[in-house]
Parts: sequence; C-alpha cells; structure tokens
Amino acid sequence: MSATFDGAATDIHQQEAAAAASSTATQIVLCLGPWYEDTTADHLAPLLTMLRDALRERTSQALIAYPAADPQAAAWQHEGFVIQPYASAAKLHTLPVQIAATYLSLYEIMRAHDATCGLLLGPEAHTLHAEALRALVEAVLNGSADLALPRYAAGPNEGLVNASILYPLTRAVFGVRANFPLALDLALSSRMAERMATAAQSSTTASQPEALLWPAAEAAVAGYTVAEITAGTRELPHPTGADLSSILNTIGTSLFTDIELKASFWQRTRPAVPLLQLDAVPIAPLPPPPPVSAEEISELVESFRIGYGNLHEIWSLVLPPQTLLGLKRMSRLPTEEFALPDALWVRIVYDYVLAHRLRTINRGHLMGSLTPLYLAWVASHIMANGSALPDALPRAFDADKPYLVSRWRWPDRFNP
Amino acid sequence: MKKKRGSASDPLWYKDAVIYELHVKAFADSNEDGIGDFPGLMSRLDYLQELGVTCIWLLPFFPSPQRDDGYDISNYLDVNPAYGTVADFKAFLDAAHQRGMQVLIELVINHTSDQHPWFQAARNAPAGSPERAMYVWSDTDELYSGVRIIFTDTEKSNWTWDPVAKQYYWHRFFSHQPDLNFDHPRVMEEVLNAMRFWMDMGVDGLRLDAIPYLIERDGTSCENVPETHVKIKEIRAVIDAEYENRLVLAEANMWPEDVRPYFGDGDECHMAFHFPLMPRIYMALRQEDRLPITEIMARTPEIPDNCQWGLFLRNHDELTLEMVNDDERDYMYLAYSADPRMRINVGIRRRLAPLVDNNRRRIELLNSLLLSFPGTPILYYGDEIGMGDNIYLGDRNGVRTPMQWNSDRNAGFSRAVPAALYSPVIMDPIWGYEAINVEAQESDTSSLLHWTRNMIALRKLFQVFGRGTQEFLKPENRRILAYIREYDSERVVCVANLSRFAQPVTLDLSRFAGMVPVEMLGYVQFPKITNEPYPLTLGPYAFLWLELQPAPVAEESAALPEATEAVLALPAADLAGALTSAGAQLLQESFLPKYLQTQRWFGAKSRTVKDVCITDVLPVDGAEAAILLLRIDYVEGPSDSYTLPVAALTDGAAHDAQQNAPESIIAPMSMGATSGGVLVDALTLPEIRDAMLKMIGAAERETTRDNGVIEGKPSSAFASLRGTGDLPSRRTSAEQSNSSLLYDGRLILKLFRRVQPGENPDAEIGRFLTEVAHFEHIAPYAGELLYTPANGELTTIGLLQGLVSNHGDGWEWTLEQIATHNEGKAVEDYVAAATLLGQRTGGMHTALATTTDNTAFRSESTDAAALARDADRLAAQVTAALLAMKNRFNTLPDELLGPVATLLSNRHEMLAIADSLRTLPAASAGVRIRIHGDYHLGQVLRTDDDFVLLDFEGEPARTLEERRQKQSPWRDVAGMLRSFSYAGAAGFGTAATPERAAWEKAACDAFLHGYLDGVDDSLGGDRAVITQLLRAYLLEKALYEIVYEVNNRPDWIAIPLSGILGLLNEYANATSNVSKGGE
Repeated sequence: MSATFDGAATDIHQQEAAAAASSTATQIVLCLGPWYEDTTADHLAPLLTMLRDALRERTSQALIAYPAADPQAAAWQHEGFVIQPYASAAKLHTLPVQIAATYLSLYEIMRAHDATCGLLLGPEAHTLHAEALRALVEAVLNGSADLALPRYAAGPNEGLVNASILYPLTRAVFGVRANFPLALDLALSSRMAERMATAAQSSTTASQPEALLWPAAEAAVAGYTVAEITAGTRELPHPTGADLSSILNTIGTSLFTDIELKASFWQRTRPAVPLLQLDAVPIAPLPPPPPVSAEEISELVESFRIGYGNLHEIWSLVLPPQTLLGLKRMSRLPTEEFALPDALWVRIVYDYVLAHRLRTINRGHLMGSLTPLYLAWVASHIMANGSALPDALPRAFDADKPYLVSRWRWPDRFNP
Repeated sequence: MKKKRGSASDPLWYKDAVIYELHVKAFADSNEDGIGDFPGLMSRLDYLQELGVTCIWLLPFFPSPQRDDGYDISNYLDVNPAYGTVADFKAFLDAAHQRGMQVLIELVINHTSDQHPWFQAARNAPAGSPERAMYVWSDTDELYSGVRIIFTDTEKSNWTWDPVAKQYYWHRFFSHQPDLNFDHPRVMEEVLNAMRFWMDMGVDGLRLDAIPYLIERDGTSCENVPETHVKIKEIRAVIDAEYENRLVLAEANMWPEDVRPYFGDGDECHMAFHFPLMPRIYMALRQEDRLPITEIMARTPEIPDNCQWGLFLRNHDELTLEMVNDDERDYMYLAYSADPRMRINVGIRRRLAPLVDNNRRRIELLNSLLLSFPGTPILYYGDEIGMGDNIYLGDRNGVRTPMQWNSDRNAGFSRAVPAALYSPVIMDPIWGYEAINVEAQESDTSSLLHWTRNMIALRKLFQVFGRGTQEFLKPENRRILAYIREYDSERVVCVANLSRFAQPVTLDLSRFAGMVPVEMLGYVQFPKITNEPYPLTLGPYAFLWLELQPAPVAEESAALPEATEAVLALPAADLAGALTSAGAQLLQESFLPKYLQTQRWFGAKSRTVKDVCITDVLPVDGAEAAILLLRIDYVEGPSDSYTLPVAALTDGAAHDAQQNAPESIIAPMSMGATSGGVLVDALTLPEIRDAMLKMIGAAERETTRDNGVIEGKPSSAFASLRGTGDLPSRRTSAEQSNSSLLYDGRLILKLFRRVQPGENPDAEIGRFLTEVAHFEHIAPYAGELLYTPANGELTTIGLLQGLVSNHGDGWEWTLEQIATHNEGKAVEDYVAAATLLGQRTGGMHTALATTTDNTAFRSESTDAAALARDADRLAAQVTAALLAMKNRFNTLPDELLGPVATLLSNRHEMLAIADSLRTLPAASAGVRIRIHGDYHLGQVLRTDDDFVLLDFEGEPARTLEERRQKQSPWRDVAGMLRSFSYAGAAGFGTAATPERAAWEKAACDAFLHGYLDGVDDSLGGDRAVITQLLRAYLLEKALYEIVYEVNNRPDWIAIPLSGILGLLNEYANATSNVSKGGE
C-alpha cells in the first residue's frame, strides 16, 4: 500500500503499527443507517466478518450502532464487537445514500464515547474490501485526514449521475477532487462529524431528517483535508422505487441547494482542496461493460428528442440561446452521429444550477426538465465508448467555472 | 444567569448586514384600514428576503399621538393598535428570524410624548416629587441658555411653559416631546424595563434615538456631555450581561470625531450613523469632485474592532445639512432643492431618485458607494425601486408615502378607499405608482430593483465590504474616486467616476504588481498589474469593483519555459523538425510571439503582434543552428523583419540550458519517449558564435531554405585584425537594439536584429571609410554577414569590426571631465579634446567626400530641392513639437509653463527659419555627402589621446532609404553641438547657470574650431549661408529632442527648450540687424 500527498510518499504500514499500540477504549464508532434497522446477529454476520478482517487489532476499539425501534434494548457482543442500538426516526431513503439523521446519530454516539473516528457504511457493506475499509479508518485515526472517501472501481457506464454531474460539479465548484463526493461509505474525524452534525441539525430542524448532506463540500468549506482511498469494487444497491427523474431531482436539488448555501465560499478564488490519495485496493482493469444495444441508445436519443419537443419552452427559460441552438442541432442529428459535446453539457448543468438558485421556474419542474438532457448525455457518453480523454469532462467543468461565477453574480438573462 | 441567545450566530453579524429601514404604517396594509400593519409587513418578508436584506429596521411602532411620526411615544411596552398587537409583532419577528433576518427597533429614550402617563403624572405631581423628576423642569427658560434649537422651523425655544405644573419643561425636539431626566434613577430603570421587554421577545437590536441629548448640564451645549456615556455604558452592560449577539445603534448627528466617543472602548454602541458622509456624497456627485468625500473620511477616526459605521444615502428624515459649513449648505440647497418646499429645518426632504433627477446611472453610482464604503449599508424603503416623494405634504411626510407594490389601487399597499390612507400615494406620471412599482420591476430584469438585488447579493459574498480597511488612492483626475478595501486575503479596488462624462485615470497599484484585477460583477479578468501606473477608462457615472486575485497559475507557468514543457512543446527531435510543419506552426503561433516580447532588442513591444512568420531559414555552417528571418505583422502599421539565431539542444546540453540559461530557451521540444530538448537563442552557444565568425572569415556561402543566399564577406584587414589561434567569444551584456559578440578583445560582431532590405549604412560606411577612404579614426571594418533572398535585395545581417581599446564613450568621458572641472580643474583639457573631436569629425566628413565611382558615396552639390526638403522636414518637426507640448501642457512642471508658452507663441518665427532655407543660395550651401546621421557624444569612443567614431547606422527609426540619403555634413555638427548642451545639463544640472553656459560655449566653440580645421574646404559653403543652415539644423534637432522629452523625460524638457529659445533670440537679433542694416 502506498500513499501520496503533494508528491511525498507515506508508508501506511508504519501508521498501522502505531495504531495497534494505542488504547482499547472506543475510538471507532460505526453507525449503521436505516438499512440495518433492528438488525440481527445473523444479518450482520457477513459485515462483522469483513469488519474484523479490516480492523484486526482495532476490533476491540470499535463500537457498532444500529437503528432500533427499541433503543433501550441491551447492547450485545459478537465477533469481538460491541453492538448497541440507537434511536432514529429516519426512514429508509429511496436512494442508497447517507442522510442527515444518520450523521446526527453518528456524532451523538461519537461524542458519548469520545471516539475519534466515525464510520458510516451503506447497504451491502460486507462487499467492501477489508483493506479499503481499514485504509478509510486509518486515514482518519492517524490524523492524515478529516474525511476519508472511497474511490470505487466503476465501469465506464456505471455511476453516470456521479460522473456527469456530482463529481465534476463538486470538483469545479468546491475544488474537491474526490471522485465520489456522495460516497456511500466514509470515515470522519470527530471535528468533521461535528461539522456534519451541525449541517444535519438544520435539516432535521426543518423536518428533513432524510436530507442529503455533502461531506466533501463541508470539508472544503472547513478547510479540512480529504483522503481518497482506492476501494476496488463493491456491490452498490440500486435505488428502490425511484425513477431517474426523481433521482436527479433529489440529488440535483440537494447539491444545487448546497452550492447556493456555500456561495460565499466557492465564489472566491481558492486553491484546490488538498486531496490525500491512498492506494488500498490495487486498481485492476475491470471486465468490459456489457454492450449497449443500438435499440437502447436509440431509446435514449429518442427520449431527448421527445423532451426537445415537449420541454423546449421550459428549457428556453433556463438555457441561453447558444445552448438552445446546440440542442436544436443535436435534435436533428441522426442517431448514429448523436453527440453532446462536453462544453455544452457543462453549460447546461451550470445554467440549471443558476435557474435553481434564481427560482426561474418551480424547482420540481426545473429538475424534471433536466432528465431528457441527462439522457442525451448518457447516449453521447455510451456512443463515445471510452474515446474521450480521462478527466475531459471534469476539466471542462473546471474551465467553464468563470461562466457560473459571472452569471451567479449578475444573473442577467440577456446573455449569449 | 444564562444569556438569552439572539437570532444571529455571529456576534459581529451587524458588520456584514444589509439593513432595510421601513415604517410599518407605510409598508403593507392587511386589514384595509389604510394604515400598514405587522400582518401586512409579514406578507412582504419574502420580498425583503429576495432583495437580500439581512436586517429590518422598524421605525417606532409604539402607541403614540403620532405628532412626530411615532417618535412621540406614549407607551413603550405595547404596539400601536393601528399596526397590530404585540402578538402580531412577535409573529412578524419569528417570521423574519426564520428567513435569516434580524430585526432592529427604536428605543426613543431622550423624550416621550407629552401624552405619556409619566409626563401626565409629572405635571400633576408636586415639584420635587419623584414623579415630577422624571422630566427636566425649570422655573425659568433661561437655564441652559445658548443651547441650539434643532427644529428651527417650528420651535422658538427648548423650554415650554406648562400651565398645570407651572414650570417650564425641557425639550430638544418638538414641544410635545418633553425630555426625560436621566439624572433620575427611575428613568434608567424604566428604559431598561422597556429594553428587556423587547429583547426578551427576540429583538436583535436597538436604535438609540437622539442619544447626544440625554443629559443636560448648565454651561454646556447640552450635547455629548460626559455623563451621557455613563448612561450608555450602563445600558450596554445590561445587554452584554443578559443577551447574546445583540446590537445597539447610536443616532448621533455629529462630526465623526464627536461620534467616536459613543463607541467607547467597544463598550457603548456597536454602531453609529456616519451623518456627515451622506451630504458629502451628494456634494461630490454634483461637483464632480471626490474631495468632499475624501476630506470627511480623512476626518473619520478609527473605531474599536467590534464597532461599525452605519451608512445611508437617504432615510425617513430630511437630508440633514447640519454637518456641513455655511457655504456647503448653500451649495447643497442650490444644487438639490430648487423649490423651497423641498427644504425643511436644516436639510432637504427628498428621496434618493428625485435628488439625482431620476438618473439611473447616478442612482447606481451612489448605491455602489453605499455598498462598498466601510460600514453597514442602510437602505430606505422604496429607494430600491427609485420611488419618488411628495413635497406638498407637510413635515417629512413627503418621503414617507406608501410603498408602491403594483399598479393596482393604492399602489397595492392597501385595499382601503384612497381617502382612508394615512398618506396619499404618489400619483404623478413620472414618480407615480403606475410607473414605479415592485411588480413591474420584478418582471423587468433590467430594472433598478433587479440591479439592487444583484449588487446586494454580490456585496454579501465578500466580507471585505463590511469588515475591511479602506485606503484612498490619489489619482490626478479628481473626478475619479478610487479606494482599496482589504480584509484578510480579500482585496478589492473600487473606482467610481463622479462625472457625467467618460474619464481616464491611472492608478498606482504597484504594491499589487503581479496580481490580476477581476471585475466583480461580470467576473471579467483585467490586464495584470505591473509596477507601472494602471490605466482605466470609466464611462459616465461608471464604477468598477475589481477583486485582486493572484495571477492564474497557467499564466505564471507560461513565463517559465521548463514549466510549459509538459503542456506544450514543439513536436520535434531536432532543428529540422522544429522548423518544419507542425513544429514551425507551433513556433510561429505560440512560442515566438511570447519570446519576442521578453527580448530587449525587440523594439515593438508596445505594438500588438498579429502574426509571426518564419520567412526564411539561414543555415549556420557545421552547426545544428540557423538564423531565422522573421516577419512580424502587427494589428496596425507596417510589418518588421527580425533575425533570430536558433539552435536545437538535446540531452545534457538541453539540461544545461535549462539550468544555466533558462532565459535563452525559446521553446521546449518533445522527443517522444526520450528525454526532451530545447530550442534556444544560438548566440548563447560558443560553437555557434565561432561558426558565424568562420563564415565571415572564410567567405562561406550557403543556400537558405527558400533558395536565398547567406554569405560571409571578410575585409582586406580581416586577417590582421583576427590574428591567429583560438578566439574565445562571449556575448556583450550591454545589449540594446542589436546583439554584439566579442572575440577575445580583437573583434566585435554586431548582429542586426531588425533588418531592412538593403545594405546597412553601418557596414556600408564602415567598409567605405576603411577600404576606400582609409580613414583611421573609426573601428576598422573587418567583414560582414550578408543575406540575399531568392528574389530580393541584399541585406546586411552582421557587421564585424576590429575592437578598439578605449576609456568609454564620449558621453561618459565628458561627464567625468565635467566632474573634474567642478572640482576646480581647468576647462582647457576638455577644450583641447573638443577641438580634437571637431577635427576628427571634419576628417570623417572629408573622408566620406572622397572621390569615388561608388554612387552611394559620390558627393553632390546642394540644390534648391535639397534645401526645400530640409525646410519641409524642419517645418514638420516644428508642428510635431508644438503639438506634443500643447497636448502635455497641463502636466508640465509650473516653472516650465512660461518658457513653453513662449515657445508656442513663436511658431511663426520657427516656421520662418524653415522657410528661410528655401531662399538660400544653394550653390553657397556646401556639398551633400553621406553623413553619420545620428551623431552625438555617445557615438564616439575616447581612446588614450584621441577619439574613434562609431555606429554609422543612422537613426534606426528611419527607413534605410532615408538613412542612405546624402545630406549636409552640418547636420552631424548640429547633432554634436546639441550633445554638448545635454552633457552640460547632465554634468552641471539642468538649471541655467553661468558656469554651465560658459562650459557649453567653450566646448561648442572648440568643436567648431576643430571641425573647420579638420574638414576639407571643398565641403564648406559660404560662411553666412552655413550659419543659417546650422541654425536650422540645430533647431530641428532641438525640436526632435522636445518631442522625445515630452513623452519620456518631462524633467529634461528645459534643455532643448532653452536651446531653442536661445536660437530664436539669436535669429531675432540677426534679422533685426539685417533690417537695421537695410535701413
């Protein structure tokens, strides 16, 4: 395992040895989200096995908390872990994401035990590589980072909402280059957990315990160090009962709102947030993705064309004429030549961020109208078949950030 | 005791706040009684939130007889029933807090209404009783005599007789507003009770009305007495002890230095209004002069860190003119209140938009100052949409009319019958609610409302506006107000044009050299700041907010060739690759334009390069090097040709260049997987310098890329000058418009950078003087490097000369001599040298007139056409010089204005001198020969006991054709005589002293004497004609110097100026003598 930070190499093994010598008091709190409500030992067994492999000598320092209908139920032990229930009113989110209520619970449990590392794991967490989990925890425990995020290995056609919006937008706006800013699994220092709890508090106060939070952005604003750990593959659960539009609506609205809240931070010129990159699981070539049939691509393109016909009026309120002209040209392209240039997609996303802030139209309608455009990007992305340069899209977002800043500051609709 | 938390989390929240002042009765009416109320205000909170307001300041809303718009309070613990109930207020307060807005209310503690139960009890209580003591009473109205009356329009005295109490009571404002007696302990108790009542509810701040008047003391002005501060500290101490994050705002209409004590040591008021600034902003705008603003800010003292000024353009009162002097007040009345109805008390009762004649740009400019000056901006309701006023209403009610929400009945303020409104809405065609209302401006994205919203949002992004320091810049143009705001790492330069016309300005931003200003509204990058003055042009009433950011990293790295390597490199492994196809294209488009700009010899840095094209590649024999012929096209004006010797280095040599001579690198080269290489300026490489010398010595001849020829041409003296053996070479450090290579103290090769088709005069004359005329007093000509394009004219690329041992050039040596002279040494030594220099100059001209078949050098007699050319040239120089002086007249030092004016008035005399040349007898004007063309002391070298004449290139700015023309040798003489004048000024100082004049005369006389001695008689003409000719050439040269000095060294203008005036004087005497002789 190796680590790089500003070019300097660090040996994680040395840190592990030091950690082993530390006390056995609770240092690590793993707070399981609503997926594990009223869980049982049998249900947890695969996860505990993986955790034991990951934490090894730190097993005795870890406390596992799970949401329970009866928080007064007794704590129990299994595989050397102390497992205790906690009260949570949060409901299961339709998306596999960590929510405000869980951050709040994590912080409260950490504070109660004076723990130094908090851990949130998503569903199917047992499929995480033990080495990745260990690296997440160690990055926080050894003080290298306040926030440790995994970098999952994903195929070219996986995690496209993240690849097309979340990652490049978070990177351009907040300067955090972590590839999965809304990672399902993450480790936090106590101060980072406190900061997230503060953000969660305002959401829960506003009766939104299921609100999404953006730890990478919070870390950036706080000036905390973020670590990114190569985590290999992991089974990522699919959303339950949510269609694409509602996914985009939920995630997009949350991110766009967060961008608005933190405007005074990212409008200033700042250096990129330092990112500690750790190799926990070697990056191995993934099997080629299953081919996407011409019919599937055609369906995606057709969705865009239908959207162009039906949503043109809404888009006209949101997008400037140059972008509309680009979309018009795209709508006329034969399917086999269909392409959505990066620069055009960047403008679309930025103009949606702006329209969201300005409440140009109802925010629900606004986010709904993004779906056909996103599908156009997906079609274009699949058809490019990996021919684009790596990081080309994030770079395009970076390069066009002044457009976002200038329109944010002077949101005149009379623009090119 | 646990402190009660405020709605704000930051204790200094008021520093970043945007405050909006409104009257509940004027904002929105929910119950259709014609009077605004709290439920109505609540319904408009979203509007205020959208506007960006962070704090709402409510004018008094307490029960009151309403004889002073609520400032006459009859119950501090309740809400005026017309506006709602305490519960309504609480609901409003909570709703504001939910929207992230704080609420500031009035605590009018100086006085109450005469209807307040306290006063009624007081007047009915016996004298000396505690009830009576709540107010200030006296048996006489003579107590505190001399204290000024504030409401001069209505009140005649600060005392009013109360027939019930049978005493006078004290009131600083209206007679129905008796002043509370703060010497009575119960008054403070009641004040604190009232304060706790509202703060317990969650109110975030209190505006302490009229606080300078709290305490009265005989023999004082009854304003700002020390005991007042004791009372304020008491109030503040209670707030700090019982509450968190609350605000106390002082209303003290005083000079800044008098307001300063109200901040205490940060333990009195958190904020205070800056009253004197406001009228001065309007004054500066009208006078188009920043002085009123900068003066009052200079008078503004520092305040404690936790304190803040409150800034406003307009408020619910009149535009107060108490804090200006009489003249300023008169000016303000004349400027802003043409109609006497616009005046009240000591001020002007008008709103912002009418004050500036509804000019949108003026409104924006004033708001830009409000939002960028150090302090918290306070907006008055309605000003964000440019509401008007009604000067026909009494008191200050004209600026307190209902808010104009839409074009419906009553401006959308109320659904009551119009007659029931507390005040008529404004209805005229310009200011009426149908023209100006929120709804219309909401739907118009270009409206003032949208503009204000955007500006507030922008201000809120940067804490520097609320918390930063302010430093005024002092540009010459006083119509420009410029200042720098700094806070932590935030730096903003604000520039405002107070004029109705466009204005230029240059700012001294040198301490930010290297940073890039980014215009904050549009996020537009401006050119990088350097040590030079930073020029800007602002349109009428325009303003700029420029955020200073570090220069983009990419731009920085572009300046470092090694840093660009990874990003951009020539796709080449060798010189051929670098100069062909993609390599050449990248070189021309990207690297060369940047490289040229960094080279001292590139003379067109001020022009915008459009294209750089490699027109030919001249191989250097036996080396991986070549001389590039570049054509530089500019956006405007003719193109230039330049030479650029280049070499390709790889491996270790490339590494050495990167380590030891990074400035020589023109471009990195990418060589695939192998190590990189670099393309460098070849003159840094000894082997290339040797190869060039060898080309000349061996008369080598090579075909160029485009079938031209490059050839070396040694002189007959080359072998002896070169000698034998190796000649270590180096590049001279004193590089100017050309580059020179030194070969072991024996030879110097001058490589011409900017080249023109045709033989360079330096080489041509050098060769002629050495090979034909055998003139010894020049650097001997040793050879040259020539280029002939396939279908073009021969061009000199390099000139090789023998190196002359010397003691410096004539200029340096002369200054040394003057310094010696100043120490008391006799001038005779220099006179002897000047004589010798004259002789050598004469000898040079004689040599240049040597009989020859070479038409380029054959002397010609002067004809009328030649004299006419001289006259035309002089006339043109007269015009150019006078124009230059006229353009810069306003910027010249005072002591020069008189002489310059004299010169400007002598235009006809100078043109007469030019015209006089046309009538000279040409046959008596001597011969025309090739001359030096740019002759001065810097062009000669002083050897042990002689002079060597150098550099026959002529004036580089002129075309080769002009430089090769035959001219009167007296032009060279004139050049040297002017040079003596400069040397005198440099050596003795620019002031005209007898000593300097004597030295100059001695030097000039000696030089002329020597010249006449050294020159062949056949060159000369008639003495009288030559005198006129020389005068004209001297005038021409001095006028040329004027143009140069005006643009580059204004302090030196006196030198040519005195020379010209002397010549004109001499000319006047001469013409006078001629006329007298004629009589």
